[in-house]
Amino acid sequence: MREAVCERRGRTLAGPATLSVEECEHLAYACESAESARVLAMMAAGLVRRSSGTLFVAAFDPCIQPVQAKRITGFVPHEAVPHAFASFTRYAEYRAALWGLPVAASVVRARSILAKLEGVHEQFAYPLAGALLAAPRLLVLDRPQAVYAAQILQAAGKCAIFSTHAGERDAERFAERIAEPV
Amino acid sequence: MRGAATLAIVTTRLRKEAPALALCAGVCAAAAYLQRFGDASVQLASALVFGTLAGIAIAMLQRAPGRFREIELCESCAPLYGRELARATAAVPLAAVVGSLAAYWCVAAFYERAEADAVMLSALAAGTATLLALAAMVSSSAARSALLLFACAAGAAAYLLYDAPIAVAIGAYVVSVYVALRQYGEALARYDPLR
Repeated sequence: MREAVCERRGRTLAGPATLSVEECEHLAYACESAESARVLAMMAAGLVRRSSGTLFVAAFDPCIQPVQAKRITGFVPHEAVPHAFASFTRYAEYRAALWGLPVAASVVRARSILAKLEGVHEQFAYPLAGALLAAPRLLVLDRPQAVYAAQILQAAGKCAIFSTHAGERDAERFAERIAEPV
Repeated sequence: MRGAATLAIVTTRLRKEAPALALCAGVCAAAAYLQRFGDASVQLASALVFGTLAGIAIAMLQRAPGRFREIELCESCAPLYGRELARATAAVPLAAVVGSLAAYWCVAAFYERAEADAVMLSALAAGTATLLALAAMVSSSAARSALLLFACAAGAAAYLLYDAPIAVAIGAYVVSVYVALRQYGEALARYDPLR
């Protein structure tokens, strides 16, 4: 993204941000506040429209080609979301149906991703496994916890990881943990 | 592939909303029982009131903030076109309307033969009201109030139009359902989760 800004009602919520994440690269981006970290992550994942600047996920602008951009992006929110599904299998089946993936194979893949996230609380592990189900090229994390960095890296594999953080210290801690050899 | 996503959204949301759907159908059936000796115009009015209210209530529940957070998060992240998502999420409150009105008219028909015109008109009017309520829930506060008002008025207008040639009334509501669905799709496309 280049000079990407998100403004609402005359207030700048996030940006201007200029950054790029290459294939297989990991970028921990420090924002001024929790709100700007959240909004920037949502912008990167194509969930929120930017007000100005440019943003591309691979060759796709989320404002113009949101479907194509979302197909190669996975997003994990910071807040714990109450489970709406009776089981993890149901959740995986739902995500597979939304992404047009073969259901049975997706459930197996979801379980294998979940196995790599051992030690991660399920409030974070389930959304992360769901986000990685479609093998995205870019994984966007909204203020992830540094303590889970190793498991995230192992589960994400060769996926590029872009994480936003509410401060330099959080970003540095996450970057250090994710750079540690597994 | 597209059908699978639509089916998944509809079945998941219907499963979550099953108690509310059953309640709406039960209330409509009870209303029909209480109106069993009323004439055709009273039955139509009652069907319109209860069917419209059921559709608006389920539409507001569907889009109530925080109620289906995980499901809405999955849907917003998914590579789905706006119109696909609009059709899929509209199907749930429309199913509630169909179920409620089916319960109403089945009970009413048990006591007195129900007019097919009245059944169709009530279904179309309640469907229009439901779609307008859905659009209201994803619109800004000013537009929301206006759309909810139109949704409530949809039922009243159907009662007034019943005296007109039925083809005109039904034709008008078929068009209004189409317009309301487009309106909902556009409102959903403009929806800003940061608002």
